[in-house]
Amino acid sequence: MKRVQFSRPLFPYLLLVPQLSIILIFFYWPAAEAIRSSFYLEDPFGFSSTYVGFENYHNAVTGSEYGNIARFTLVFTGLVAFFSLSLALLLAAKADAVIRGAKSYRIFLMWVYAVAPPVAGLMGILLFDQSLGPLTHLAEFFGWDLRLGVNYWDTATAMIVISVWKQVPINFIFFLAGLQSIPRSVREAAIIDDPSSVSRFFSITFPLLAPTAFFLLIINITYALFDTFGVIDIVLKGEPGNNPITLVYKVFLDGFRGNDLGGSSAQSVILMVLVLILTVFQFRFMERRVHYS
Amino acid sequence: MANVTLDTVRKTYPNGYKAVQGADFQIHDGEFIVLVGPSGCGKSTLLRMIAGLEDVTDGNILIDDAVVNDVDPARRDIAMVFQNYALYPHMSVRQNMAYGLKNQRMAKSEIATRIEEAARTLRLEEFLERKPGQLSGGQRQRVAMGRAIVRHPKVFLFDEPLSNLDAKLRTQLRAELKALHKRLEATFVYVTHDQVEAMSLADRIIIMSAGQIEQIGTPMDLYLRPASRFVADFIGSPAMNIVHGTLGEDQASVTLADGSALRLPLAVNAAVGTKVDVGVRPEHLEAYSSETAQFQLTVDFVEQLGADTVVHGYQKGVENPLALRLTGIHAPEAGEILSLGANADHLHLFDSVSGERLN
Repeated sequence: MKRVQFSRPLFPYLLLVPQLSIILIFFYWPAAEAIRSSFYLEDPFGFSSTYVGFENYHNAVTGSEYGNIARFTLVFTGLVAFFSLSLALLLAAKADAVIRGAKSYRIFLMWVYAVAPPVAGLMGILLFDQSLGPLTHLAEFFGWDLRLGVNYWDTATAMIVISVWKQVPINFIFFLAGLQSIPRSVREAAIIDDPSSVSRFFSITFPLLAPTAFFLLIINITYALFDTFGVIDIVLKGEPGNNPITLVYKVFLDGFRGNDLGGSSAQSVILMVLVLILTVFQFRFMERRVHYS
Repeated sequence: MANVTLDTVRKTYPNGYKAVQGADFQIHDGEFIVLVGPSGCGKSTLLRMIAGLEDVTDGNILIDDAVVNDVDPARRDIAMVFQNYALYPHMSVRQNMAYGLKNQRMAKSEIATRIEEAARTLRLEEFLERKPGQLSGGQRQRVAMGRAIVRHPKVFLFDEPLSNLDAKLRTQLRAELKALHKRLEATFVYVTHDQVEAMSLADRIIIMSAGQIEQIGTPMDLYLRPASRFVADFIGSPAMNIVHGTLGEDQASVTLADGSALRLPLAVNAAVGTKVDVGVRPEHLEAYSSETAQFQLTVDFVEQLGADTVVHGYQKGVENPLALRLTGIHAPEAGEILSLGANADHLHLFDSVSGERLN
């Protein structure tokens, strides 16, 4: 690492001020506020608040719904991350092998990335529409009476499909870039060493993609946990009823629909800790195994 | 061990670029063949077609009399060593060597034996458990060779394997490669752009230019009787002196640009007035006598290399600068005029237009 010496010791800190102030204002401040209010019971209009210690946490975790929602969140996150990663990898591997018109293929596969989550949710709703949706018709063709917003698992299926569809392009871009950074001669050496392209993929290509895949795994878990909010909100039209929701959506419901700011803060602090643990775990234990050279 | 035959092999890329235009030759069992030429001449494409990494547009490639055009690279019984080593970075040296053998469903004990053997040959025993990232360039290239050796292939293919190494290591590995060939008695096909590498390694050299094969022959064939001006120019350092002129009435003299005549100690079998290039190697210029063609070299500057001295100069009426190579240490003054000669055996005459040899 190159070290630069500044003649005035405060100057480098001055350069950091814009970045630090953004982090402070938009992350640390709200986070601190959430932690603070998670220890208070606030009246719905915000006129008064009472210190209640860990009661909010206790209520949140022992609430009858919490376990179910946490379980659904786990399943949802697992499925979204798995399908968006594996589909993207399959598409990237195929797109990488295309020689003619490669650029157009790649652009078509990437452009969904530019669609905002709520818009993706809207398009998804159209696809799953009870009377017009082509995906509903497709399900019907296979004898599946798909009812969005009525049946718990049908709604879950739609949420997962839309979330995966939204996330595949970004994974695709990263996987394609990862594939193209594998030296051509290494692949050719493998072609001479191994006649089976499937076995080549798993013994050479995939291990060399591991750093990319690892990075994407974190991104996708975070995406499924938090960024799918827009998709879920549109699919549920703000009225969950007995449909599945994720933990982040419950934070929103309890805080802004139920006006239980303390309880929802406590839940968001739990999620924050969860992400912290996840990040530390991934960087400490897994990254060590996937980097070479 | 095997013969490799190329039967009018052509390669045209989809964009119409003709990379190889009719390669037609046979590589004998146990021969060390070097494909040499400037970059873009098609030598690597030719090697990659033998490996099966490029499709053959036209013609046939035969290994041991069997056409392999449509045979999978992994089933051609070849091994290839790449310029940038192409080792699998996530595998140890041992795993790198074992990978190809495992895919042939070879017994574990046999794989282990072969790896030991290759490691001993290439002095890699202590590095077997390391990853390629922990090795130096020369060690990596030895691993790449090891990966080829353990396969006991019919044909070894080398694509500029020494180009990424520094000069000293290159010389050392060149010697090791030569020794390896002698011990394995295998068929080697080796691509390089370096004529010194080609001369020192090859049993026979195939010299290519712009997708065409210019000449096939032993290093000394190419040196002593280059078939074209391209070959004459490519082989040898410093490059051959070339003098442009027009063949005179007697077919034994050449009129230079300034009208002066260069008398040749031989008769040229070509039409009077043909534009010709007269070539003579810097080391073949000697003292002038009545038996030789005469050159008047005005000394420009001198390179003293210790073992020999290269004198650079020019001659009136000759466009190209001329060079003279002398054994030992000499120190002619700049501006000094040296009267030099070249005898008939050392003169090469080429048609200026086609570049073909005339004598």
